Amino acid sequence: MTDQGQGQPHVLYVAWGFPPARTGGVHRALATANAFAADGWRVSVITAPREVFRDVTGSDEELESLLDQRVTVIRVPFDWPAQGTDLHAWPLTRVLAPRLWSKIRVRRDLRAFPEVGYGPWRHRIEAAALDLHARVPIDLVVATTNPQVSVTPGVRLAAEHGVPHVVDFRDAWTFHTYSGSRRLSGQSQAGRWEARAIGTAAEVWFVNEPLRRWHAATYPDAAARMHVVMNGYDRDLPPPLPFADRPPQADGAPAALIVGYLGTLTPVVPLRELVEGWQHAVAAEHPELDGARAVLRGYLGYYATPDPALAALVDAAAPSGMRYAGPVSKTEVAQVYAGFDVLLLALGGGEYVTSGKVFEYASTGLPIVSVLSPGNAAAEVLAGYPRWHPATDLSPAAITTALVSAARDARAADSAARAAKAQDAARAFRRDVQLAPRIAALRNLVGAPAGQVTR
Amino acid sequence: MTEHTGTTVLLVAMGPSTPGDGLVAGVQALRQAGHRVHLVCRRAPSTAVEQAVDAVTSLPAPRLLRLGGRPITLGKLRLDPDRLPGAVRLLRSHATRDLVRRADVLVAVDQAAIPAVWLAARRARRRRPSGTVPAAVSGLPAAVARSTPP
Repeated sequence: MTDQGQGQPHVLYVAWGFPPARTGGVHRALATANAFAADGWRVSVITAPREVFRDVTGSDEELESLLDQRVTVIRVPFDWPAQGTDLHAWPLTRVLAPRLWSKIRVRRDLRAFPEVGYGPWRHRIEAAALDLHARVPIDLVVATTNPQVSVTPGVRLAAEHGVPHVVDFRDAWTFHTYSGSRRLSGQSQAGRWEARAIGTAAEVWFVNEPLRRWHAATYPDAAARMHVVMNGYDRDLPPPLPFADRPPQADGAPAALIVGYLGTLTPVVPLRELVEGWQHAVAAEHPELDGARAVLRGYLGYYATPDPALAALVDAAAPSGMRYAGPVSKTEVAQVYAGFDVLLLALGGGEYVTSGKVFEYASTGLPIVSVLSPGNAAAEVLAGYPRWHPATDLSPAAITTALVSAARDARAADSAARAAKAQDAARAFRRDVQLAPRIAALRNLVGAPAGQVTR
Repeated sequence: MTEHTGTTVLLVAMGPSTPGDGLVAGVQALRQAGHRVHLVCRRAPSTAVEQAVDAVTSLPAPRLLRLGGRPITLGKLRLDPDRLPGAVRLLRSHATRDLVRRADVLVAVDQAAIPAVWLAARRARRRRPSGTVPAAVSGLPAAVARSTPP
């Protein structure tokens, strides 16, 4: 079914959150589409309209410029009435009886697919996929979840046209990654859909080994088709400037050591512990942290406007030299890292949760202080990183010890050599390195191995 | 001092609680983007909010015969008796009706203000020429997202 004229296999990638979205997993989605295009596939993407991201989740317009020009994006209309803030569009029932309206809405959502808010999108994306397949035959469907509704075009094309499909579970569906227990029973509608998607998939991807293991135990017949495709970082960063080489400040004072955080700070991040740890470290007047400042970059909360409770926490730490300096566009990331001497990695969640941020952090070659909830999977990733300075627990004393150790590392005379070694160690975490074996296997699956692209 | 673009954002808070400091960052973002921000509220705002906005107009709760002052419950349906009378009051009161008429963006800051802003938006659609109908949104974050540059 490959495009005989151009010798390209055609992959349909289904990702609700795709640039310019700044939703969770968008960088993985962008990288996956780009990796298929770079490998010579014809890539079509089904996603939601730009307005959804601009008006509700927040968007990063710069992200779109990072998409391979050869990728075709199909934006399928998506209604999100529950998140709709335009009161011109609200019906009278919603204004007068919001709870009743919400109840009716949820029932309607679940009629098409067992996922509140996203269920009705199923029919639209299935129709778009079938229409595309009729015009340009599809060789493979890859769906990234959540939302889980993204699996439906692949399941349908597999059932009706024998097109192989892949499910990329960035998160789990019926399993709760934070609590480590089942969220929905296997007999529920969602449970049956999950079994169907996994049962018919050519491959099922997970972001870490504990998640793969749980699903392999739950669906033993599909275990051999399950793979770990870890998150990773997108582009190599230049070597960091050693702290000793930093120019003095504008007033002639020696350069201040900058301890930086870059990422979305949500309520599951142990921010309070991080702030208290920083305050404790500064108050202890360790010479390694003399004049040091902490700078937090990224969104404060899930939305464009900073979460007031999180903002208040950070504001209260201002006297100790900590400040929040706003979100960062993906295109400014390298520049922001270049201004940091030590990185702070604060993550919530347990063994099933791996943040994409940890890989990007490792790519910098800078010392990393980790403040992690117990058992967080990021610890496994950082285990081979030579400049890792973990706080052994979330207490201020433990965080202080880690900060002092990292500051000493940053100030070391051989800091440049240490950074080069750390960047070498991190290279295994490049996203393309993670994706390459799977894309090669899928080429074989669709009968278009590299070098023999027509069949 | 921020230079105004001439665009007026009218924030409406009809709930029983004080418009608090959580609004300050949003108001500042709107003003930094050049908007004039006017707050209409039932309860006096916090000092920080009062200082952040350009002007405040208070609109006391309507005096209604209420059954013990609680929401009216019909089975599972709960009706806040202040919601609709509050909406009518916003549109008819001497203190606020011109503000509503001139606003470019109407914002329901809390749930209780939604009927008022919804009704004002409907009225504007009927009365104003197309192209001059104000935006009407639920929540200050949505107003900030729509009215400030990315």
